[in-house]
Amino acid sequence: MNSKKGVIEVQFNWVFILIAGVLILLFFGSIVLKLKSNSDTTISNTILTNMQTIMAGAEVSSNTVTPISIPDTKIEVSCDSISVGSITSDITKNKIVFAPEIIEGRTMLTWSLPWGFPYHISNFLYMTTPNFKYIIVDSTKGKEIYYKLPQGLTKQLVDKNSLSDLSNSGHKLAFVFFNDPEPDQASLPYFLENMKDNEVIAINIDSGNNKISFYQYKKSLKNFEYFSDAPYLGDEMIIGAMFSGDAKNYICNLEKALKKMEIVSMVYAERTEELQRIFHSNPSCFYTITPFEIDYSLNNIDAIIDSKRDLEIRNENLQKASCPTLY
Amino acid sequence: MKICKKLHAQHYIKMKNKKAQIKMFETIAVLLIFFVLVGFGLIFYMKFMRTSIEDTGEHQFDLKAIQTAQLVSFLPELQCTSPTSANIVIDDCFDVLKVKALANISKEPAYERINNEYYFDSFGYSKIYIENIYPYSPENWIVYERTLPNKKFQSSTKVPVSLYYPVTNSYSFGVLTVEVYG
Amino acid sequence: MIGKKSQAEIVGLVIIVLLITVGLLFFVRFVVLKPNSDAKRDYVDSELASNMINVLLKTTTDCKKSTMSDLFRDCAGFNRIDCDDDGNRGDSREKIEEVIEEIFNNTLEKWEKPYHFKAYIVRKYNTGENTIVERSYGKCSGNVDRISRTYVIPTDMESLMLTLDICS
Repeated sequence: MNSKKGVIEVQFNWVFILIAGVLILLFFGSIVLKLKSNSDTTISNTILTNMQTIMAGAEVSSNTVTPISIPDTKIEVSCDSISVGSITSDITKNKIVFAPEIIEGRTMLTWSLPWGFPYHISNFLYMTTPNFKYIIVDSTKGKEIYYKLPQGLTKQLVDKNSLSDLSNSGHKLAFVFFNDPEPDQASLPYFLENMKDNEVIAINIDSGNNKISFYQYKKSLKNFEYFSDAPYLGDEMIIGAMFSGDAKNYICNLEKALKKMEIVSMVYAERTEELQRIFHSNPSCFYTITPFEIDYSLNNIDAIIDSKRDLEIRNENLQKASCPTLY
Repeated sequence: MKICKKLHAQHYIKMKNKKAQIKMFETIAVLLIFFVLVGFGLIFYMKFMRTSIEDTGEHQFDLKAIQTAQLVSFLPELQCTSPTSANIVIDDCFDVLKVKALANISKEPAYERINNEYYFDSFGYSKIYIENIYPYSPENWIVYERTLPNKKFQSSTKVPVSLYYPVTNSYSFGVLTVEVYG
Repeated sequence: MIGKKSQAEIVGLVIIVLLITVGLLFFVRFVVLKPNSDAKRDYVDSELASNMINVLLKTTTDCKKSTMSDLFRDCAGFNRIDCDDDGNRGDSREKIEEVIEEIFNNTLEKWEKPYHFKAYIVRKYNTGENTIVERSYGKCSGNVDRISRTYVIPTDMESLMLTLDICS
């Protein structure tokens, strides 16, 4: 009887230790897990705050190329939001950011350019990584774009006849064609067949019609496949299309840019009306708000381009007549 | 003798039981104290974390105030442009005709949609106005205003700016005030 | 045996107390006594200092439509500007003082921001300096935290320096 009691006591001790141990382990385990998820959220938040600061900086100062060290996480960029892990932050309506859908790696390159049509409207922010290689097909416009791109970027100017001689450098590729030849008519290097479809994109610039066409490489076709096209206003938008590589993202940013253009033009129209009132008795200083009163939408790109030319001429005439200029 | 042995054994068992009970109580007491200490630690940590989060909140608000002031200083709707190229903007300079135009637009109910959608997205709850300091003029222009009824924080940033008058081709000394509410 | 056991327990307790104390000390040193950085004040003061001088120099005055920069240059050079056309040249210094008083009165002084502003000529061939205008408000001397901006205007004869200290 005595020895039985002893056995029960010893077993109870072990059961007690087991329960207490499990409870203690669970308690500390849950604390560790909670702290880890907190720390992940903090890191994501820090990255997003830094990205927002970079975007705000780019909005106010242009032509700056900044390489930024980032933790080895996936940053997803869309036209109106940017996400790291489960945390998402909005990109405001006035920020125009051209970037590939996913930014990975240890370094991110940010660059900004002022965009005016003809007056200053906004600064475009471009984001990419050195993992992307921009292959520009040699032409007059091609050279212009190539030399506009910053030094830190992985870029190459290639003759249209040497495209098939390109060698695999381990980069994701973005080809920029200028209608001669079009992407689906070019002779492409063989190593593209060993790459994933989403790692190779191409855009074709039709300067005559102010049109950009978007293509994606299809292994099954061993060629580029046409997706869609969109208009552009200025070289800054061609560079935007190169960096985003995706028609949907590009069009969304183009719409944002047109919205901003409408607002800035509204201010210029109001300013011109004031000048009209001041100089109504001076025939050499002629002001009209007609060039500002257009529809700033994607369907009206031709009228926007015509209005730009009209404004440039009117501004030059006012300058010649020593009158305050329109912009 | 047998009875004596039995009594002794019973006494021994009773003693052992008491000892085990004391040990158990001791263990429970140690565990209790341990958890109380951990609890205190957690309360202390939470309090510290709350202060730290509040500090971060204030820091974020300051950052937002700076960003808003910076954003307004470089707003194409207000900035002076170079006569040679419209894409070259002049730092710390606002075109008075543009300022007046934006102030008019922000007042007009027809443009409420733009103010609500577009500028609210950038400036949030804030008031942005420009005053003319020299040569003195009582005129000041409110280019954006959206107040927050129950504001916890308020930050006011003043930035000296040149005000350019295109008609007279002259510059006056102005101050841009950005009040951000949070 | 019992004495040794209790001694060992005391040593254990002392070690635990020491570890907790060291931990607390680290916590206090690196977390509680963390230096408080005021990013907003630094940014605002530095913008204020640089913009004040930039904007001031660009400002057009009512003296022959000259800018403050023209007036400073004239004051440091030949003193040829006659603001009120009374035949007496050398009005630039007076005008500078008048404008600076109006601007600083309605900005930094109204906002109760301590500052020290000085515009002086640095002679090229000797070490002396000639103050054109000096103005200050609040406590802005000695060991006070400050953000300083200096602007140099080259003139025909000498260099003109403008310094503005914004103090906290």
